[in-house]
Amino acid sequence: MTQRDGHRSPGRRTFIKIGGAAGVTALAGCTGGDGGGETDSGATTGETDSAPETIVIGSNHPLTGGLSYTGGRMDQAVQLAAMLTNEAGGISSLGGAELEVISGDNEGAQELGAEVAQQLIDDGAHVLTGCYSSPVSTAAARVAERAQVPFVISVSVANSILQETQLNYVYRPQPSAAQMGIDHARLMPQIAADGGIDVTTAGLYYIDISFGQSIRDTLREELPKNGVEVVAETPINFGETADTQVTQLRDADPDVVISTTYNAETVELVRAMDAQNYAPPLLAGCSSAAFNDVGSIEQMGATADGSLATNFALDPTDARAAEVQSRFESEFGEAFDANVAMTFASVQAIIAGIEAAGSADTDAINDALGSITVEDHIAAMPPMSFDDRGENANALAPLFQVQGDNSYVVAPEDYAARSPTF
Amino acid sequence: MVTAVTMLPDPAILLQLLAFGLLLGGIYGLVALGLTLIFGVMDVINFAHGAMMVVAMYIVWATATTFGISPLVVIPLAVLALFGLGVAIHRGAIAPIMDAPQENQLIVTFGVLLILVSAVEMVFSPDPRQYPIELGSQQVGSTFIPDGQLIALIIAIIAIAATWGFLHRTRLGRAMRATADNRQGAQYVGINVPRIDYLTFGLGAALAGLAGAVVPLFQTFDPFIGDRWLINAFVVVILGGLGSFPGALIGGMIIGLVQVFGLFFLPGSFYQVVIFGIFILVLLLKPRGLLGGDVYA
Amino acid sequence: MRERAEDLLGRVVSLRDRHLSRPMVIVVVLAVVGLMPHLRSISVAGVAPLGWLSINMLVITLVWATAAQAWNIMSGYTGQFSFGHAAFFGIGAYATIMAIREGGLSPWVGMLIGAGVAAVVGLVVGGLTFRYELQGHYFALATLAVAELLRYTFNSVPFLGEGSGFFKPFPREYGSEFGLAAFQFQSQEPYFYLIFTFLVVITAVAWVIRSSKLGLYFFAIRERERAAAAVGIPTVRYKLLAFGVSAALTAIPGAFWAMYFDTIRPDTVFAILINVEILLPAVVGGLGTVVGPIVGSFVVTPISEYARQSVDLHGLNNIIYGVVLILIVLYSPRGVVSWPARASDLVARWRSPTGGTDE
Repeated sequence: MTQRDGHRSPGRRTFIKIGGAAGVTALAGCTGGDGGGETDSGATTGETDSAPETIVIGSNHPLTGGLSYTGGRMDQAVQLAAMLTNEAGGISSLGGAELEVISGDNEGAQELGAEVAQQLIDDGAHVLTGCYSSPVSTAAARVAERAQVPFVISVSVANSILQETQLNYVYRPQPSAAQMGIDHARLMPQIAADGGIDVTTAGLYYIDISFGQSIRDTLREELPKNGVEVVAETPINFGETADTQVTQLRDADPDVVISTTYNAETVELVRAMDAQNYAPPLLAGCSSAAFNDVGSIEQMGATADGSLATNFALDPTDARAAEVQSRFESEFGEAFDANVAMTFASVQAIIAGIEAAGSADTDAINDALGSITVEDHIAAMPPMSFDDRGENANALAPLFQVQGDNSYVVAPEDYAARSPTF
Repeated sequence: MVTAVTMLPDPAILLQLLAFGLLLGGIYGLVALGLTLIFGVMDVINFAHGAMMVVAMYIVWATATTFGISPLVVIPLAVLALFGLGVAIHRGAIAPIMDAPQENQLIVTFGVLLILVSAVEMVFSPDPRQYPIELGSQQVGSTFIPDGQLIALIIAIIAIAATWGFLHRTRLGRAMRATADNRQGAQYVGINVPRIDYLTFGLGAALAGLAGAVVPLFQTFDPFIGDRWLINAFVVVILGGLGSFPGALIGGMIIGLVQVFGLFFLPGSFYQVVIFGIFILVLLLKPRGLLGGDVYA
Repeated sequence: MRERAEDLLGRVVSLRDRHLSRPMVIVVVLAVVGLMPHLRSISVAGVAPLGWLSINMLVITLVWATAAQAWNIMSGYTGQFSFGHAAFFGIGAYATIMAIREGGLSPWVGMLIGAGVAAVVGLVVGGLTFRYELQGHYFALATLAVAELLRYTFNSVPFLGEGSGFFKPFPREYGSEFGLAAFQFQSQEPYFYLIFTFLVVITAVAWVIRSSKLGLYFFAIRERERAAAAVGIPTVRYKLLAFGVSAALTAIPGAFWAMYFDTIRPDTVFAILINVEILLPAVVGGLGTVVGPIVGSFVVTPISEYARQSVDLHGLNNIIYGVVLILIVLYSPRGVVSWPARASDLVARWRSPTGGTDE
């Protein structure tokens, strides 16, 4: 792989070199000229003698700013995936080559998405992952495409990332917003009905930004197709209480309240519901991280018990997945949620691509990603297979239920950990 | 597709909305206090106001969780701490630019905002947090009043009354008002205006601290929440009248009611457009605000 | 009456010309900026001193320089301090994309439409605020309210894209190919030269205004508005003119932004922070000067970027940036471009101290 632009970044760059046996994370900072040509990761096409000793994964996430609560943990998920692979002997098709993760902070800003992606490439990344915020992912995708470096999106919900443009180097394992809305509208009423709750009306509570609005739009279309009428829609903004919203829902009296927000806003919803002594027959979530986050579930308390939530997630029937979760929690002391799981799974896809390619050449890895089926991953969905747009043809967002202090997959049956209880 | 409500909902709902509007209004009034004081006396727009609120929140949270005491007890500590912080910021960054053009003042307070929010984010991480306190709600008929907001409203009223009393009944307070009316004139009659500025900025920061410390009683918080309150706080300040404390309360009530009823009856987040519309109207027609005027009320 | 007018203008001229706006200086600064892509690849003893500044960052720097230059025409020259220019930036961006999507028009036409709409909005806002004689803080807050009002409106109206905004269409979707006519390119360098061209043009406009009688009136309004009105200068009309021109020109970097990035949303082109980013270079560089916005942008953006790259502790870079901003404003209230003058003042004073010391 030839060095791109030729410029070096000054000073230090956070280098997380994941060591082998002990699984200890060593933070090594290098001063001066690092990255690129000086490291061992420079196998060019055609070189057949020595296998490279490290493959570099570039992690492009918001590590500061409003999204960093999630972005930081997603970055840690990338590190963990590399760490566990190295512990298990590295990339076998490359003679045990180790994975190295370099992280960049895009601050959730569109201008920096491309900037960070370029820097990661210049610092020697063979594959990229990121970015959480959709405009950032779009900008990073352009850079990856131009530089011909594969980019496997960790989490980014917006429908149009891969649909507006033909991108040959960009992949998205997770289901898009539209897909999640479709899955929720289909599964939630079914499971509720099985449990004796008849859902014929719905109230939508969504955060008034792109992702909340997209899911709202999809639900507006899909719920009626499944026999559910939308009788209330109420938006929430950052830093607000949900009191008026709950009053609005009280007035409309729907059978189910569906929440589509980040963690804090769903917690606020439940808090306001408690304060007004209001509870709909069913509380639900579509792409609402709170229902899969142990900390948020604890904050929401008994009111959230029994809620049905759709989100991409960790496969509870997979023993390896549980191992990964506990390892994450012990290694980083942070909450393991849907975004963490999805990020980890995306890196597993990357690793599968590298293994299949048997080389550090970015085009070989890209070709591999386009053709393989990734079976070995912890996400609750079938093996991943990317279509010619880079979307995962088998993407799935299962339905969870909050039972007690945690959430468990209850549908579809293939991935169910428990049966739904009401 | 559901957009605005087409029929009038039943009276119980309207009453509930009224309650929330007044509660939110009281909180807006509290948030606006520090801003209107500094703006009124020093003619400085403190863009770091929201950031100061955030610092206080985290001081209370950190102290309460570390020592296992109720956040309510810690609030006065945060207020004092913010007073000190305000004085320090004034010395370091504000006093030198008191006579500078307003664009310079903007950049300085903006710089302070960046520093404070980033520092909080670095020290405490950006995770959303809650106070270690369980608060329920009161029920009056079919109307619910969340305890946290009720406490905030009570504190707001006390704070307004106390500061009003300070400004009208003490010598120092009268000196402040004199400075607000006429800086040069105040200097001529022997008031130590630079010292008044220190006090004003410190007091403004302390009031921001009080508002900040109180918000998490009813809401989840993170390092970025201060900025959310800041914009509407400006509206309240202008609506109520620069430097007027009762004005801040009344302005807060109006904005609170507009927000609650607007959210209920208008589609999406259009209530915010209405609030800005009111803002612009007031600026055009009565920039001194409802209770503002030549006399510092 | 006429004597008093000339008197006033004379004083304003002397005030104004203290600022650095000689054409030679402007040309030199622009030349250096234009050569940046080459300068950054210059290596001295294996190290590229400007190498850490990517083309992307240079483009961003120039976007803010151009916007600041446009902002300066109103706020720097007439002293009407606007804190809401993101409104015009956003209008430029949205008009460009929507002209393609809804009208099948060329993005260049869209940009012109954006400039026109921005000018109208500016005139309306100006008309209202100047008629009611809004000054200082109040005026600034009114402009901020307008910018925020637009942001919420775009975020809530489906026809305007709501929160998700719009994707930039491909050239083939509006009957074109990558290149100047399509207003988009496949690599970054052409974008740099395009925004540089915009900067040159808007700088030229700014310089022409400033050196003309119009500029004189603008500065008279800034320094002594009441006096200017008293001597018969139609202040409201000129303030409106400044507002309209400034608004229209601010739409242009907005249009560029829409064609440089792949998506636009209220959160990006109408964000509150954009209001600050537009005015920062002008204030830091030197309010009311012509080179100020350009130099200021090259101070502000690279500092932020350098801090971001070299500091490991995430978040520390923002603290450093905040401290630097405060220091710059505290120690050079008239902007960075006043440093050479202050330096030579210092030297002069050192050479021949007044107040009689032993020599």
